[in-house]
Amino acid sequence: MDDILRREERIVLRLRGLYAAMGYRPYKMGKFEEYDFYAENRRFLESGSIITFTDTTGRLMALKPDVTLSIARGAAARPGGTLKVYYDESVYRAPDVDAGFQEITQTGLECIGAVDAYAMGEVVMLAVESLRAISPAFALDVSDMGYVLALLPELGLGADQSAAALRALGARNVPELGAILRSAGAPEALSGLFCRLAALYGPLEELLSELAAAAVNEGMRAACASLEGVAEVLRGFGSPDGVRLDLSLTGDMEYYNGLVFKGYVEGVPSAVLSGGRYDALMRKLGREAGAIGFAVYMNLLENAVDGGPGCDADVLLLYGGGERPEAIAAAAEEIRASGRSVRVQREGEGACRCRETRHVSGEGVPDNA
Amino acid sequence: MLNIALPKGRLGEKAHAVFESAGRGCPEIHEPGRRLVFENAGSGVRFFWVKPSDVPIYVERGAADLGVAGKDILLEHSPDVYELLYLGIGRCSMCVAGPRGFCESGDRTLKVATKFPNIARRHYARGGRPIDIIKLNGSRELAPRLGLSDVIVDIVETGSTLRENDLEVLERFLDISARLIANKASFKFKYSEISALAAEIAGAAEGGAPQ
Repeated sequence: MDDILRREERIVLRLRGLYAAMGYRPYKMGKFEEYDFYAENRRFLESGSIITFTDTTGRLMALKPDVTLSIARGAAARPGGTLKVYYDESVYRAPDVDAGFQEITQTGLECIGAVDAYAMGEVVMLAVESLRAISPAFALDVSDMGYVLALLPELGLGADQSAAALRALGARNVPELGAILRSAGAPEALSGLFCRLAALYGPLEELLSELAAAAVNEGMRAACASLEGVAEVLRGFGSPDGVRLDLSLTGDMEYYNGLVFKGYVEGVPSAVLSGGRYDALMRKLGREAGAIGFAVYMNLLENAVDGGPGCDADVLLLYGGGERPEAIAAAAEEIRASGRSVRVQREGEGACRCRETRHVSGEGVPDNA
Repeated sequence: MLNIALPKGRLGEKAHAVFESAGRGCPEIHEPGRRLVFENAGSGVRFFWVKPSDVPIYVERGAADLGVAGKDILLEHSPDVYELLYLGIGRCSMCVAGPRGFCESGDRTLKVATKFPNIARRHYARGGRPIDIIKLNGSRELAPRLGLSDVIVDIVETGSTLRENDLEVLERFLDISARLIANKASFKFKYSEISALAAEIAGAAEGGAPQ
């Protein structure tokens, strides 16, 4: 049965099972929504523009460019207990550089309501297991944006310089970060610390103590405590490997706050999983609530790993044209009944990939027939 | 094995010299011929020559783990890559240049010929100056002389090409040099290899790599 599913479909099946096993419920989303909502939250989308059209009453509509925004809006409108949902949806965007439209298939989950240390750890664990379901060679990078954001005011940078410093941090561009801090006259000891932090990369558990020792104010200590909380929950889930600390991870502060993470699998050149806390988005939508979630970009997995040349069927059953249709059907049925798949086609109709070739009128024929 | 994209031309040769002085070069690369790929299994590196503006594409898409690219190319294309090191080579400036004694008229749109439309647009947007960008791939120095544009935005190393064409630098607004860039996923999965190589290269670049 597994054979007829494409690799991405098998992964989606595993992910749905994984999320359902932790009590997340499926969420089904409409494909269209009024454009205004997305226009107001345009920057939430990391890339791409919104595809719009007018409906039959002349309203400007959007093809859904994102799942999280829709779920967050629904949750903001219906406060109540903690919402735990997962989804498997296509969203649509117009790429920033190339012409045309892009379909992005996302599978992911959201947890909105009371988000404490346990809930964050649970979501990070599910992100780790999602990556493991895709490939045994994976890495989940985590950070808490609060750590760097609390360090910035200590450096005495202007708004432009702060933005430039965050950009340099995001590109792991330590030389440029150093140059920005020098030109801004930032205290030398703190500048050195910032540059060391920017270059830091390794297992979360191992680097946490270094991070805690480097904290110079309450904000930084709080961010450390939040990461320590996540690490503690992960220990409870059996200390999954592959979780690394990477302070170069940042997100748009208008929407994201605190914990952010990105996941990579070997063979795919960019992040296949992206997530984090977005209490700030909930506040913007009018509800004071914790919110955290992530999405796996299934469309990025199409060309990655395993696969190998597949087969159209186990047996290729050829007929010449002179046979009675009933005989062809009986021969096909016999193969199907034996539990093997069969592709029936007239001789000379082109090649196809099958493990074995047979002829209705007789036994097997050579592969080059 | 680390795949490294080098920009074809003078900058790529200088970049390879930096790798060589760190003991990570590939001697075969000096042999004349049209080969594009060179491997040194002993040093764990495989170099390939690509068009300079294509280096970030190879790296961003993961065909190369590392690459050497000028800051001009990185600013123009904004690839999603890590920028690990300054290599101390390929130093030049991004400049506005125009005819000698050029006096800008503020009452009309400025015509700017350039190979770097994004950099030029951002530069003039900061001052709120309306401009008309003319994208040219070569011989930018001709544009002001033939009246195609008022000024050019281009990289200037010594300024001799400008002088020979009766142009002069009107404004230097960006320092450019070559950077070692890395694919983000490669950085995760080949972290120890990449950080070891980067440390060796940093040592070599500081230790007086050829300019």
